[in-house]
Amino acid sequence: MLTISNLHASVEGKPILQGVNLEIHAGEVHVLMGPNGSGKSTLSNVLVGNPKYDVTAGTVTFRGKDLLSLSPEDRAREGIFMSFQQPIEIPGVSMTNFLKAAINAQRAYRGQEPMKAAEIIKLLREKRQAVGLDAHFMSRGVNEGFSGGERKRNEIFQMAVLEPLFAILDETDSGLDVDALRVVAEGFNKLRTKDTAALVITHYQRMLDYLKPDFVHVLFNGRIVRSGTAELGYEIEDKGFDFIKAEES
Amino acid sequence: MNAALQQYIDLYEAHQAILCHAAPQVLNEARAKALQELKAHGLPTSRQERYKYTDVAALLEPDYGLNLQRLAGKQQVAACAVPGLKALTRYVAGDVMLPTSSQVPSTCEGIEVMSLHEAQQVYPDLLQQHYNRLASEQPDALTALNTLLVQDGLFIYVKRNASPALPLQIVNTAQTNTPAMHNRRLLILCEAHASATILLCDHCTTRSQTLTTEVSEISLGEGAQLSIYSVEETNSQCSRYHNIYATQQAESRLNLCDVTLRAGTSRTMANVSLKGEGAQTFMAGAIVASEAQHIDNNLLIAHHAPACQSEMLYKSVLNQESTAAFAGKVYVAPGAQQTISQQTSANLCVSPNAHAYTQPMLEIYADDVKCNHGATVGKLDESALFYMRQRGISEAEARLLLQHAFVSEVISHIDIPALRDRLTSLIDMRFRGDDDVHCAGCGLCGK
Ligand SMILES: Nc1ncnc2c1ncn2[C@@H]1O[C@H](COP(=O)(O)OP(=O)(O)OP(=O)(O)O)[C@@H](O)[C@H]1O
Ligand SMILES: [Mg+2]
Repeated sequence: MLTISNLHASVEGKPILQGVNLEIHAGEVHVLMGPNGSGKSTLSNVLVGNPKYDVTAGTVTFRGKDLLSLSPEDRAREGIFMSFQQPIEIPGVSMTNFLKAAINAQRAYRGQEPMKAAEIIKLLREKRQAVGLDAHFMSRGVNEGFSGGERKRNEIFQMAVLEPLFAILDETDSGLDVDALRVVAEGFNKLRTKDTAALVITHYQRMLDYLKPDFVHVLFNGRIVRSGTAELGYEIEDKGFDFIKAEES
Repeated sequence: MNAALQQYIDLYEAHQAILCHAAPQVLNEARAKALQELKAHGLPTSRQERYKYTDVAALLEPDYGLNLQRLAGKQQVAACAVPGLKALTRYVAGDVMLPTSSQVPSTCEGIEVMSLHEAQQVYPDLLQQHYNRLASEQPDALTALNTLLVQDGLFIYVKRNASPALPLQIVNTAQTNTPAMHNRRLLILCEAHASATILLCDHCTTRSQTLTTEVSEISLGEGAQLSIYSVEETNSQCSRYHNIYATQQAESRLNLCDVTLRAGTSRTMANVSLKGEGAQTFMAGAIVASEAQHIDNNLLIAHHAPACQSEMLYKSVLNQESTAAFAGKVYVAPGAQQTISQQTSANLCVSPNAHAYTQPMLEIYADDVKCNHGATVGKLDESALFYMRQRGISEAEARLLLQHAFVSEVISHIDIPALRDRLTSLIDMRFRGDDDVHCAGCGLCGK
C-alpha cells in the first residue's frame, strides 16, 4: 500500500529525515516509536504534504501512485488521513461546515454526488456518538475552545467520518485520560479492515496493548534503526531508548 | 474653492427654485447655513484628521446628475427578500420614496414610516425640532452638501413604549443609465422604552456611476432599544457616504451593524453621543473588499454620562488592491465614571497589495474607566489552511472558508436568525466571486 524509499527531508534548511525506508501493506498496523525530536512528526507531515517540510531525496508510492507529486488535498482524497499531534483551532469555521466541505470534496474527487445535508447530519451524529463527542461541539469552530483531550477525540471522530484507507496517528494517545484512550483506541480498531492500514506514533505501552500492532519501528536521528514485532515496543517501554542510542553511536 | 465642490454649488444656485419647490419647508430652511459652511470651509482634505483616509474631492469630481424634479419614473426596485424574514418593507428608488399601499399591521402599532414630505404635514413640530439638529452640531462638509441638496427623506417614528413585532426594512435601489447623485436623509426617533429593528438594504441594478450622500439622525429616548442593520450590495461604480449622528438617553441601547460588500467607495462616519446614564452602544462592521474597493469607517463614541458601555467591532477581509480604514475614537468626558468601552479592529489582508489602516483612539477625562482597544492586521493562517487541505478541502475552498470565518464573528451578533442566514449566504456568494452587477439574490436578474 505504502512504500517509502530513502526518504530525506528538512525543515527550514535543517535536515531531519536521513534515509527512511518503510513498507506498509493493506491490513497492517505499524507503530513508530523514537525519542523526542527524532523525526516522527516530520515523517508524518512529509507523507501528508505539509508545505513547511522539504523533501530533499527519496520516493514514496501510495497504491501505485507517486505520492510526493500530489497536493495535500489530493493525498487526503486518495485516502490518507493524519491525526495531528497538535490539532490547531480554526475559529469561525464550524465543525459541521468543515466536515461537510471535506466529505463533499473527497466525494467529488471520486466522482460521487455530494452527500445530502440530512445524510451528513446523520453520519456526523452516528460517528460523534461513537467517540463520545457532545452535539454542541458540532456547532463550535473546529477545535475552538476544545481541551487537549477533546481535540484528540475530534481527530479520531474526523477519521471515523472520512474513513481513510491509510491513517497516521501522531501521538493521538498523548493527553487523553484512561477512559478517553480506550474510546479512541476502540474507535480506531473498529475502523480496521483488511483494506486499511495505519502508522501509529506513540510513546506508550498502553497503546500497544490496545492496538496489537503487526510491527514496531524505532526512528532515531531521522532513520529507522530497529524494526520488529510488538515485543520491541515492550522492550523500549522497559529499558528506554538508551540502549538503542548507545548501539547507534 | 475646490472645483469639485464648485459644481455642486453652481448647480444649487442655478436650480434653487426647482430644488426647493419639490422639498418640504424644514429642509429648505436648513440650506442657507449649509451653503455658507461649504463656501467658508470647502471640502476636507486628507490633512484633516477625520478625512485622512478618503479623498472626498476626487470622489465628488465627476459630473453627476440630480433628480431635481423628483420624478420617480419607471423605477424597478430590488425585491430584496430575506428568506424567512417577515418585515414591514418600504422602497426607495434613488432618493425618492415610493408610495406604498400596504398598511402597517396591528402587531406593528406604534411605528410610523413616512417621507419627510408627509412628516412636514403630520408631525411638523417633531420635524422642526429634530431635523438637522444633531447633524449641525459640528460642521461637516458632506453633511452640509447633503443638507444643501437633499429634497426628501424618511422619517421613522417609534412611539413611546412601542415594540413593533416586525422589523422595518428599507430597500434602497439605485437605477440609472447616466451618472447620478442621490441624497438621502433619515430621521429616526425612538422614544422612551420603545424598541425596534431597522434593516437598510442598498442595491444598485445598473452600471452607471452613482454617488450617494446619506445623513441619518437618530435619537433614542430613555430605555429605548434600536438595532439598525445595514447591508450594502451595490457595485464598484457606486460611491457612498453615510454620516450617522446618534444621541442616546439613559439606559438606551443602540446596535449599529454594517455589512459592506461591493461598493467602490464607502465611507461611514458616525458620531454617537451617550447622554444618559447606563446607555449602551454596539457598533460593528463586516467588510469584504476586492479590486480597488475602498472602505472607510470613521467612528466617534462620546461618553458624556457615567456607567455607559460601548463597543466597536470591525472586521475586514481584503483581497487584491482593496483598502479598509478604521479610525475609531472613544471620548470619555470628565465625570463619565464607570465607563466601559472596547474597540476591536481586525483585518485580514489576503493579498499583499491590500491595505488596512487601523487607528483606535482614546481620549479620556475620567479616572474610573475600563477602556480597551485592539487592532490587528494579519494574513491567512497557513497551519489552518494546511489542516483543512489535509482533510481533502481544496486550497481555494480552504481560503474561502477562513475568510468567511473571519467576518462571521460580526454576523453572529445579529439577533435575527433569518437575516444572519441570509448574510451568511450573501457573504459566501461575495467570496465566490459572483459578478457584482446584480445584488445577489434580489430577483431582478431572475437568478
Ligand atoms: N517547523 C519547524 N521548524 C524548525 N525545526 C523543526 C520544525 N519542525 C520540527 N523541527 C525540528 O525537527 C526535529 C524533529 O522534530 P519532530 O517533530 O519530527 O520530532 P518527533 O519525533 O515528532 O518528536 P516528539 O516525540 O517530541 O513529537 C526536531 O529537532 C524539531 O525541533
Ligand atoms: Mg512529534
